[in-house]
Amino acid sequence: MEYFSLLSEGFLRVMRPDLLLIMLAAIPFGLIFGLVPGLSGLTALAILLPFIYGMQPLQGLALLLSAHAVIYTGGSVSAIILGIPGSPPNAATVLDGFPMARQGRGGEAMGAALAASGLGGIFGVLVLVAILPILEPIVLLFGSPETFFLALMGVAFIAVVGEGPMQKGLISGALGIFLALFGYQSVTGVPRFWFGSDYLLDGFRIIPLALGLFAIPELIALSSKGRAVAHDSDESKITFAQVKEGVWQVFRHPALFFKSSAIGAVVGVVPGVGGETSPFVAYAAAKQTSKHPELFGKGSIEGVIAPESSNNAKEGGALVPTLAFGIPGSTGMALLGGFLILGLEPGPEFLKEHMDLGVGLAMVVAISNLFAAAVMILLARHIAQITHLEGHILAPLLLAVVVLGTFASKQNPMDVVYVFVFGGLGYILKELSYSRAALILGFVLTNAIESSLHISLRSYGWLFWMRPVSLIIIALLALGILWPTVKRRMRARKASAS
Amino acid sequence: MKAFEIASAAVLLLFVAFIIGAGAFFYGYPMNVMRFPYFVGGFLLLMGAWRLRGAIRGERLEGETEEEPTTDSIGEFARTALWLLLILPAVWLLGYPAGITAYLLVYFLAHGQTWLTSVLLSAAALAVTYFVFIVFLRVNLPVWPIGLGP
Repeated sequence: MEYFSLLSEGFLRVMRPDLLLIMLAAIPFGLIFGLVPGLSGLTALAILLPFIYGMQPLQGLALLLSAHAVIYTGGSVSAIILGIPGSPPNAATVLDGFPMARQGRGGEAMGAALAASGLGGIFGVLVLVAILPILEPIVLLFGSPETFFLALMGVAFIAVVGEGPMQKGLISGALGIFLALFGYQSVTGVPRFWFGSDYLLDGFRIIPLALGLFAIPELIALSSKGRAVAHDSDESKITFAQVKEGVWQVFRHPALFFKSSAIGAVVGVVPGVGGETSPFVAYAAAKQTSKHPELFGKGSIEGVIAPESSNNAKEGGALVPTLAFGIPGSTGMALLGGFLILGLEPGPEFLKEHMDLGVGLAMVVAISNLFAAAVMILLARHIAQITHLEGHILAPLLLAVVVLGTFASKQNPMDVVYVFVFGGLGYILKELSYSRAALILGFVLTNAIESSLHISLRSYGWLFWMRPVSLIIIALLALGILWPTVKRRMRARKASAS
Repeated sequence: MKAFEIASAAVLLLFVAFIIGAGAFFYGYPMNVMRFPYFVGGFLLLMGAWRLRGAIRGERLEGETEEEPTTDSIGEFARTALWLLLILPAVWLLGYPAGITAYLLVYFLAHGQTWLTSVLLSAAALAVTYFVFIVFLRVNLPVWPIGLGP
């Protein structure tokens, strides 16, 4: 009962005019950062951080959190209409969203993505609110061995059921991990494979890699064909009805929505894994259970709903370890710096003393998600007009945005060069049906995989996997890898018998 | 396509072997630094060799579909890639705002746009670069040729 009064108190605290104004100002900022490829959530938070000095804790955190909560909502639009993920977690949305745009169903994809994002965000918050009081024992179940297997599961799942054949998916995932081994090793601080290059001391960066893999091959396609992304026919005109149809699609797939949002929220809880993994895991799970897995990668609405629901749902989950242990659940949860600026220290004590603030932050995320989805649904039709621009106009303009966005992320000209290096790699992978999504996910999760392996070996020895939760994850991992083959064989046997 | 498959698998094997070899023999990293690269590199070498064998034999993988190539010919690919790559020397030699504007102007004109469209679009791009990236985001964009600025 006490908790419910805390909830209502938290809600009332957020419904203050000053906080609503701060959120209204921060949301368009976050949406723009999501829309522009290369400008990540971290960049947005970094730019906003100086503005929170002198603010009250809830005001300052509302500014950061509402901008951050809606970044992936904006990113889904670029992923669908341009085939370029606005931010790395939106890469999973490209797989089906962009083919839908090319089929003239961009409006439907956008409607579905935006509704799934908004509702998924609220789902994540509900999960957060529900588990805040019983948090500690749950997060404590996940030690380094579990983090290791969960991260590995993320890469393996997307490699197995993502675009292209399984063998190539596994190669891509492993190559992503391999590329992330360059530069300082987080555990020992030893610079690996840097070949005398200062740039390589910090390793390859995620922004040039993501933009190179996903943007450059699309820009080559756009530029070489010279025609618009969507065919200029009557069916391809994006109407509000099309966007509305997309929104309804989410309600027609309730099981998929709840499953994907739950995956997002649960994966988001695991420190260091949540961020980029959850959309891919949700996508893989959706494909495995879909009645039409063959349509995935070719413009399946389920392939849009799944990653987008989990994408925003994970932010609620990611707040859990951030608030409870001071360990960010996703890379974007680097708003920890914001807590420190405001004189707060997240951790178990924080929840005891500032539970009302925790609930207030959850409300901020929920309201921001709803508001951002509504704004984007209203504007979707106009934004999607970009898909009707000629390729010869769109390609160089987008290239300029990619170059500027890449430079802006770290202000290092070499990043721009590497966009083209990885662009060449992305082109080869695309032509030969290797999974680019698996590569990027492997890259992103390497730090979590390697450091949790290192800690696990030191703490538990070579039998680190003999823990109950680890064994469950290993069983799920094995099932995920073997299930497509078993399913195919069962189908073949059934077909031959009939 | 078969030659492309073979070449890509062979390049992957060489790349991984070279990096792992450099780590083990050139840098002589200790085991706690190389343990994980050995795992991943070993896995990649195995998978790469399996892929190379399959590519040489012309085996078709389960789940592999015949995709329409992005460009119609190697010549077209090279032409397109060169046009995109041109932005690098442009921003390097002229700085970002001027380089991007000049690149866009040349690109549009060379691809059949009218002078009016080309100038308007390039000017709009310059305005966005200035107001969004320099004024609003306060990105320290190099305005001079890279390496020659103040």
